[in-house]
Amino acid sequence: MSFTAAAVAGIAGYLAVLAFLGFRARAARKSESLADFYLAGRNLGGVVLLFTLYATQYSGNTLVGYPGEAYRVGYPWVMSVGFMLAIVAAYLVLAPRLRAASERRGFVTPADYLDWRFRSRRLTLAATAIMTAAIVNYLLAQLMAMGHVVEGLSGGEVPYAAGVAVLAAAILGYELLGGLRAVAWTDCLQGILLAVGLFGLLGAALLTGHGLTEAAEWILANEPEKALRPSGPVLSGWASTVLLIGFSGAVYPQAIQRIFAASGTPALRKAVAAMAFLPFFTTLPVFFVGILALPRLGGLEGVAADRVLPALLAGWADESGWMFALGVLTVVGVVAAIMSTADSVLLTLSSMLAKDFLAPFLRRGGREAAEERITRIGKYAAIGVMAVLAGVALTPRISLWGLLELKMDLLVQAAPVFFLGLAWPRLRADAAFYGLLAGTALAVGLILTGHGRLFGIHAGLFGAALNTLVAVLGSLRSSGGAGSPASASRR
Amino acid sequence: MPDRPRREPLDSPRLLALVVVLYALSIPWWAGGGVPAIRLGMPAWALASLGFTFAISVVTAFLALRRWSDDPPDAPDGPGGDPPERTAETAPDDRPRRA
Repeated sequence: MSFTAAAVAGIAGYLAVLAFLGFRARAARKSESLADFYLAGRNLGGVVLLFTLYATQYSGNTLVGYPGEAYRVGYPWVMSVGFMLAIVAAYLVLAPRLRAASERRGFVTPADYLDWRFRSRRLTLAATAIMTAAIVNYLLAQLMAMGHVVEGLSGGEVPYAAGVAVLAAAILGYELLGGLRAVAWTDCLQGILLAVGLFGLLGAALLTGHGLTEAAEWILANEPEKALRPSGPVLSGWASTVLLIGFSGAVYPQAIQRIFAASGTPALRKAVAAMAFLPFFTTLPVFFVGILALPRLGGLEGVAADRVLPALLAGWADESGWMFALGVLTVVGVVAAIMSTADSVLLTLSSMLAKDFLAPFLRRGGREAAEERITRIGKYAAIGVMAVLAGVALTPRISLWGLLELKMDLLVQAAPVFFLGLAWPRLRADAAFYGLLAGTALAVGLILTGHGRLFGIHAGLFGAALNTLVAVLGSLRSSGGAGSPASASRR
Repeated sequence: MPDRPRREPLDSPRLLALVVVLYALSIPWWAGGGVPAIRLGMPAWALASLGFTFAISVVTAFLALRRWSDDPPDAPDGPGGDPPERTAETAPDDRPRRA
């Protein structure tokens, strides 16, 4: 059996297990309430919570894009371990208070927190719109990644369009059946597959003579710029990436929903503590894969470097039966990682569209939208979103990396209303609103005029700095407003 | 009623400052130029950066496990619980109050 045939069979087997988990999750549901469908009944504990947080944080891009980055950039890409850890460090500020507030008030979406904290419809809508735009972008990137990975791993035998269509339909199927319960259970499976595959493969590669020291000596002799201490712009870009990923990754709406979905604070803080070490078990092996590829697959340029992982897997698979099996496991793990990120984003997106955007109009019509009805509307929204985005993914007009970069620069504009909003009681709704608009306009303006980075620093961080400045100065200057009873009565 | 846990990582500013310092050290601005020594299969500056990053992981896990209390937010204050000023920061209308 060829490596490609084994990988395709592995993916088919994985899809069958997903269908089984979807039906099991449907059988486990307790009601058609929003909390049951979108937050698994607020009962995610221990290992399941850890794996679902893990799957939310580590996307297909981590596994497909990062080896390519390590290959292109060299040792400075060791920064990826630190910037993935920055998201967990940011949780230390965000999660305790958000969890405490949600325990009393039963938040379902991030907009519920914003409504409670600021009582400003326009701020809630603006922040939710920015988060929605960012994660729509993210979902589209995952759908495109599914097509590219399946096409790449099958050597072109399975076309890009078939990869997108089949995997998107599978996600929709188990998600509509079981909601977050199905998503979280599949996240566990993905985490196990990936850990065994990636770690086993790296260990086997090192044991069979593809040593790190030999790779380092080869790089120093042949491409020394990838091993020397990074230059000034790279260092400022390193700091900028840590800040951008840390603050934006922590306010992923799907990550925030997992804070709400935890069975309790003990489960959440243990999961956060374990997450602090996961970059060493995911991002670091992926970094080493890219480094080990340099002497083995020299000469790949530009986007061709994104094929580092499939090329290495196919090469290593020829060396022994163990490497073959671990390679197949890694391929299935990569597909599972992309799917698990896409399903989390889709579920969150459908909850935000149904509850935050559509439900208020239903109430305005004079009829209180029952939770069951909103859940049903959310399912239709999920089908609609998936259909539209899969259609866009089938005719891609923008590169994968371009989508992902834009997402983080946008998402970081929502960070001040969460971090400052939770830590600083004086933050006012109107100041936060104008800060959000100013920061987003600056970040988008810089990116659209070709200034995605200035002096190595991301446009999104310039926007977030302006955003924070306007929010803080506006709050300090005003005497009335959102924090006062007067503004509450305006609602 | 407090909207914070009884104890949270923000109550440990020195440890949070340590995280910031470790992050600053994990970026190898301090490394010298020239050809780096190879240590454990990678340039010494990259290995040191990873070491500082691992230290951040340890401090982060410590803060999550030991500086974040399990108490539900509406639990009555017990011995050694909330300082009085903490509850005073929560507004009667159920939102954080302006200072």
